[in-house]
Amino acid sequence: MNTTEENDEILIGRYARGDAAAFDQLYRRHELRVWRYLERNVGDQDTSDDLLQDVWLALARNAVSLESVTRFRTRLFTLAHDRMVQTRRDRASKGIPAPSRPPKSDESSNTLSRALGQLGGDERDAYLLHIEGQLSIGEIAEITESPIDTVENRLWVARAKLHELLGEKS
Amino acid sequence: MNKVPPNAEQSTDIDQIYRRLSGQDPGRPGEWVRRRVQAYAAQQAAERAVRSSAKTQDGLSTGTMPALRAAPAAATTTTAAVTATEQPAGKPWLVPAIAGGVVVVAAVGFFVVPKLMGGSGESSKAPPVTATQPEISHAPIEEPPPPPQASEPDATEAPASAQTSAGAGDAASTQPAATASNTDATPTSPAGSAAATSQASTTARGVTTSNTAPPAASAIAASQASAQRSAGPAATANSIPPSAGANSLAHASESAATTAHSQSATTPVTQRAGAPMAPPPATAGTPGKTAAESRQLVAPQTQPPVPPPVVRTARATKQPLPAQTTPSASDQSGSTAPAPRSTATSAASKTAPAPDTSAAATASAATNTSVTTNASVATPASAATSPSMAATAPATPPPSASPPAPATAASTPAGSSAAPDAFWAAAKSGDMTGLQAAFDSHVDVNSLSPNGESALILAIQHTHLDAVRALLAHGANPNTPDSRGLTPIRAARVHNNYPILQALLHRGK
Repeated sequence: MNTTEENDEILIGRYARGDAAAFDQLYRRHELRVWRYLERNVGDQDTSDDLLQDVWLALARNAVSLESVTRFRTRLFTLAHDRMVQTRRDRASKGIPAPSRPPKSDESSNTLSRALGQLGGDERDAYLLHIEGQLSIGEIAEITESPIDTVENRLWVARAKLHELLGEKS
Repeated sequence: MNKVPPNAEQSTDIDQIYRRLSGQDPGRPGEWVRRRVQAYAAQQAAERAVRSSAKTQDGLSTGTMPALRAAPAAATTTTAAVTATEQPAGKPWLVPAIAGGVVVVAAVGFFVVPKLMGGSGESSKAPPVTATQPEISHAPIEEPPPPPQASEPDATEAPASAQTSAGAGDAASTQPAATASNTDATPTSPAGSAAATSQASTTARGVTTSNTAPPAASAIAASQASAQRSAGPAATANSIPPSAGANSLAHASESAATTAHSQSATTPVTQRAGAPMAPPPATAGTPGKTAAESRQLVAPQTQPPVPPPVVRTARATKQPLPAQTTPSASDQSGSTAPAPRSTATSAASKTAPAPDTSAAATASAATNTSVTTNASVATPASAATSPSMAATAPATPPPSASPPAPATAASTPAGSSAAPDAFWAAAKSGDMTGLQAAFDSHVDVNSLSPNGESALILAIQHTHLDAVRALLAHGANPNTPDSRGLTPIRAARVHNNYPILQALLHRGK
């Protein structure tokens, strides 16, 4: 466990005891990564903003119970994953198609967005948890409720596709 | 046809490419999210701080030691005394603790103060000091405390009334105090030791104790036990009837405070008084502790139960959804959990995938048995051990001239016949005609060859994608290991066969 993770747990403990500045520090540290994970999964910035808000409000609400969590980041991305999956299911149940990823302002972002859009949902989810959440395969397996072999395969497939889609252009 | 998957170095390169492109992405979350989250977090923090401070104050007002520590004002201590006397039912240790404290305070006034005021051996031999003795009332403040040996006759010659008053207290609280106190006076009697430590406790907190009442007054003080004790030293000062020597006695107690009666002598007494009922770490009365530390110590009693650190239990808010609407259900089932994953079974399948594997292994064992015995009738046990295969079988029955079998016939041992060698040979060679013929004869697609290899693994090892797809379509389980424990998925990874791996992950789609 590195120092950053220790600090995460210390910060959430401080916030659970009433230190609002500790929460601000946590938020600034993980805001962008969580948002990118959500945005690149759901493909919609407005929905990602809403989900990001839900995640952090839930954290603020349940900070006391998070004091006993061994890894704050795992818990954080668990909340984000659950909300992302719920949104995906809601869309599917209502027959709402997944939003087409709007074109980005620059070409590199467009390339990345398109490549991620061509991944399967589970493969993209596993890869984003790994690359944005900096989570291990075991943690991803725990978050996604999947066997470790499955997570390994998803990461493998995601990398293979990204290698095909991004490797040539870069 | 087959694409070479990325190796470890290429994976690192892909991750670096991703990071580079991601870093160039100017997308950021909306600023309104940050404002709302931070406002909500600040509100929650404020509420939490208020609640914690209220709990701390409640603990200070109800506990014995907190009352003694945080009640320098008479009004506060009176409130604390009322609170303490109103809650004996919930804290049965409160009454003996109160009584013990009162007795200790009374013994201090009776034994120690005269000794301190006397300062010499002859004055210690004198009868218990009363407030009317003029020469003792002018005892110098700077005078050092009497030597330990001078206190011994004083303690042994204590009047019977004082002995009884000391004995009325908690003997367990006064007796260990003699061993715990490292003060300059080491009385031989329990009453004397209690007096010495109690003197230290009162003076060390900077509270002027004028409760050094004469013998008659000490009896009165003992009778007014509960309210005065819980109110702390300041409250006991109010209970002593004013006398001419009160000021001089107060000076004497102050001088005693300057003679190294440390807190280390006071803490054992107070802890001992609350020890039988209070939890061991709850030394809330330790003067060196801050309020936050005290709250932390008592937190396990006051806070709601915290969920265990297992993430699974904390995810109770996850909404159960039908398996068919779960996007990941097919992929997850395609790896190790062929059965549809419901929310109720997801935890078990995640934490203990062994049952599924064991079921598949049992099915394989059953089919092996059927191969050797050429059994045409399936046993109920073998049928029961492969429900997942029945669930994942294709809906289209294979075209054959045989009697129409259910859709699960091709995949379950119930309707399967022995797998001929031609079946494995067809899988190995990619002979689709031979495979189709085997399917038509209701061969068990998951059966193992004499070499311990399944047809699916043979097809994977020889990179016959069409055969793999056909086998998967006819119910081959991508999780069934061969006799060496090699699963088809792992075999595809070993052979770096990306299309076959995809077919396995998507179960032939």
